[in-house]
Amino acid sequence: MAEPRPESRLGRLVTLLVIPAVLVLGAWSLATLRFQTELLPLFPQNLDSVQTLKKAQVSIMSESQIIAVAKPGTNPGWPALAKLAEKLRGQPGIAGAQVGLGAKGSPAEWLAGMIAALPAPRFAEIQKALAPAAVADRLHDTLDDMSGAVDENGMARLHFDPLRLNEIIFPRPGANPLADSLTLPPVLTIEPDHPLKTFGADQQFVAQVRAALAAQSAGLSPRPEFLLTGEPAITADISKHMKRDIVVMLAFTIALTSLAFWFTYRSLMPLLWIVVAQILAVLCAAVAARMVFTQVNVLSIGFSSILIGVGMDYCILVYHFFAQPGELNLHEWRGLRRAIWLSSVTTAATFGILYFSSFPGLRQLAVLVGVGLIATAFFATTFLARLLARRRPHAPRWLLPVSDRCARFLSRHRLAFRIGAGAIVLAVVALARPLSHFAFYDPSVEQLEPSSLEPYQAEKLLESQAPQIPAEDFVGGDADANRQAWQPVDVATMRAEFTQAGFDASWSTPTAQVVDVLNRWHADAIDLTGQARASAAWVQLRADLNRTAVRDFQRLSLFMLAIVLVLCFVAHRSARLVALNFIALTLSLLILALLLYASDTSMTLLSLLCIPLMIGLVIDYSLHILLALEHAQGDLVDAARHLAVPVLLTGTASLIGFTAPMLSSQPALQNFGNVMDLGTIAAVTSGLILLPALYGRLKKP
Amino acid sequence: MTLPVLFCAALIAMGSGPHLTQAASASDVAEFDKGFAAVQEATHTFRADITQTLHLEGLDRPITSVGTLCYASPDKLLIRFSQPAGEWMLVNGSQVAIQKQGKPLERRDLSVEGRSASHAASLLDFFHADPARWHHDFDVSMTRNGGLLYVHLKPWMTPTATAQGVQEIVTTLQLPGYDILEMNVTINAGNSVDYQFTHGARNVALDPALFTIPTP
Repeated sequence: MAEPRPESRLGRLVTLLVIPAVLVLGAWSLATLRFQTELLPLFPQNLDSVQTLKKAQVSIMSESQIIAVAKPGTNPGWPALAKLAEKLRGQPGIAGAQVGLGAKGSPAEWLAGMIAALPAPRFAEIQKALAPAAVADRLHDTLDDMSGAVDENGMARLHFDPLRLNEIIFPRPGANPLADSLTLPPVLTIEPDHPLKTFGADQQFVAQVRAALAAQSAGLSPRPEFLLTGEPAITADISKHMKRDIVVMLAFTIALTSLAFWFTYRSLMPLLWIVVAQILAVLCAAVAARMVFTQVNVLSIGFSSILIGVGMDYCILVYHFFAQPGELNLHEWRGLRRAIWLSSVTTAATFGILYFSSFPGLRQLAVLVGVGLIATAFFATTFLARLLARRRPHAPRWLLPVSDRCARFLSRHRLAFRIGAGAIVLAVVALARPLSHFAFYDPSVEQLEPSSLEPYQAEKLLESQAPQIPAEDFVGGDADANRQAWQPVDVATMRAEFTQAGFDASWSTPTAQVVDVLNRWHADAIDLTGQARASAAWVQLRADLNRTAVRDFQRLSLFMLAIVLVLCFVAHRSARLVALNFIALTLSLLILALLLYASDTSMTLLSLLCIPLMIGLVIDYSLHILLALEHAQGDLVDAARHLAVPVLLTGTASLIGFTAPMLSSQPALQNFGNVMDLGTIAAVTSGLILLPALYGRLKKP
Repeated sequence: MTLPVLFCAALIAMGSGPHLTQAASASDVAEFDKGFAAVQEATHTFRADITQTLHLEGLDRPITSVGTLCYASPDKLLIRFSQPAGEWMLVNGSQVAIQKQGKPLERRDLSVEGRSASHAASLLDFFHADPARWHHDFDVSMTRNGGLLYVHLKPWMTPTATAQGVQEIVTTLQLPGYDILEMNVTINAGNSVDYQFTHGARNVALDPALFTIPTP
């Protein structure tokens, strides 16, 4: 007698049509999907601080320039850098090169921007210092200042700012961050000779710049070594790392979940089919990413490994069903298939909660994982089921006895496990003081940056060489009033005062440039407050994001709790069982708190939302266990026979799936994976080990 | 200006004519090295009045200051100014401190910035002469005009800082005693400091406290 088939003819036809379509569309998506390499798009776009920073980014730096920063100890000196810039012009791919930070970041604009944002009284002092008589007096003082002890730094500073305007910007007795740093850092700004529209173009330009710098620096002493930053370098480097991250995470997840599966079931061919089914599901998510978003962000690149980790659940359940001895029971199969679909929709909906987060980065992740989970359910119940039905696998003989032994052990020692649950509560009470001081949540944005990558290292180097100006000094300045109050200064008259005092154009030009910028600002021909606004926005961003993340966390956690409460009541129709679900949830949250504390892990703005995900996970596990225990009338051995291995393996696969992002180069993703891993350990411990011991009507073995 | 200084200046002016100066031969260089090193090795302290003239590119007149230079072997040098009063710069080992009028004391660590970043440290390097070190750190050449010896020191390394760094030190010595008459320190193109020495005295008693950098 032929085995009953788990799939109808129509279903088979659909599957056969879907697979080639997914392969073709998936390949197209992977080839054309772009990487979103910046952090700002991960944050709520409606926040003023985010909008201001986006505008400031454009106004401060060109999107096509590469900034080359000489490493400490390899600076060949200003004249040598100027010659190097000259030699770079006209090299393959390079249209222009100059020493310094380019036109948009000229020191004159930078200093004028700082003056523009001063409080009105200090701004008025600057205006007063630029009056002809005051210029003559100040230049006379400058000559006095240069007599006596020769301070090379001081001379360089005075050559740039002979009127000593920096002393008005930062009046004594406070610290003057400009005092040591008016010499320009060893930086080259390099422009491409062609538009950079693709990642390939960015990477090619970066390679051309590296080659040209290496070739043209030969012979300089010391030979400069450069770190590259700027938009093309950031895009090229981060996209390269994102591609590497995806491959590493996928390889890691597939290898470890396969190993866990093989170790449990010792079944090779079905494992291959499971991997194929999961790759098809990942391709579906990639198609969704390409169609809906056209690009994936640094957080969403983790979707594939999370998907394989979490989606392994359905494949294992299908495998477990077909590995049972005896004839196929189509009725049971339909029940399982319905359960898998229900579970996939529920889990997708759990991730879907993130869609209501204010963070676009998390919304994208939610959509990709959701689509992928439903696709996994589809391929597991069609493609995989058909192959497994055709060639039935066999579960290893040791599996059930081991499962039984574990269940008996748990039943026999349930008092010890209850004491264990109590110990967790006591541990939290005992550690109440250190726990209350521990930073479970750190809202800083800086820790989300991949600071180990070269472009960020270069930015840090650049920042370390620039004056350390406290952003707060220019927050709340009187820029608008200052612009109105500014009396345009006649640059020619000012230059004449310099000449009369014995200073030539090399001394007067930097000040004349600053004055010219301020004059144009007064005439509304230039916006000088971008830098100050960006500084203010950067300070504001942290508070904004913190507020939004905490609000999202409260909103989504409450939403999730409400859904869970309703789901538990519908499933159990028993206040006792619902209470048990919530005890498991409370225990898992306490375990998570202890794990975060023990591993010194703080949640970030993004991983804070792991908590609603974890609520869903715990309730999923505990609901299954309690329903199985009720069905088996408290016989844990019987309940575990159906559930323990799949749930344990699912938990393991989820752990692997969430561990993979920790191998990525993105701190945001690393932390997300780390917190989700700790959350999964807490959920499995609470739902699978402690909850059965707390189930009051447990039969004695 | 004192008479010896005017005399020295006249000599220097005369000596600057190409027909009168002559490059010292290799054997002469070795001899002068040895001679100067012997004198400096025997010099544990040195004090002289100095006139410092700062030439800065783009300024139409130089800036002159007056003070006293004190050196204590092997690695301490102080220039204390009387015009303008209250200013000094001190090198003690790798530490440099500069006191300007009405400004906080500026400290620099030359082990981080490199010795050529401070011309005061380069002056000290000249005083603490030993031929092996000179030739290791500098491209040394000498010219001679009668009783005057001109020692040209150029650091082998290109200055690493953007605006600082000594490019050349030219010292005028009176033979046969190797008395220092003048030092010209070229900081970078167009910027240089001249020191004219008078009343130079070797191995005078100097209070060690002079060379102590005040703690903040």
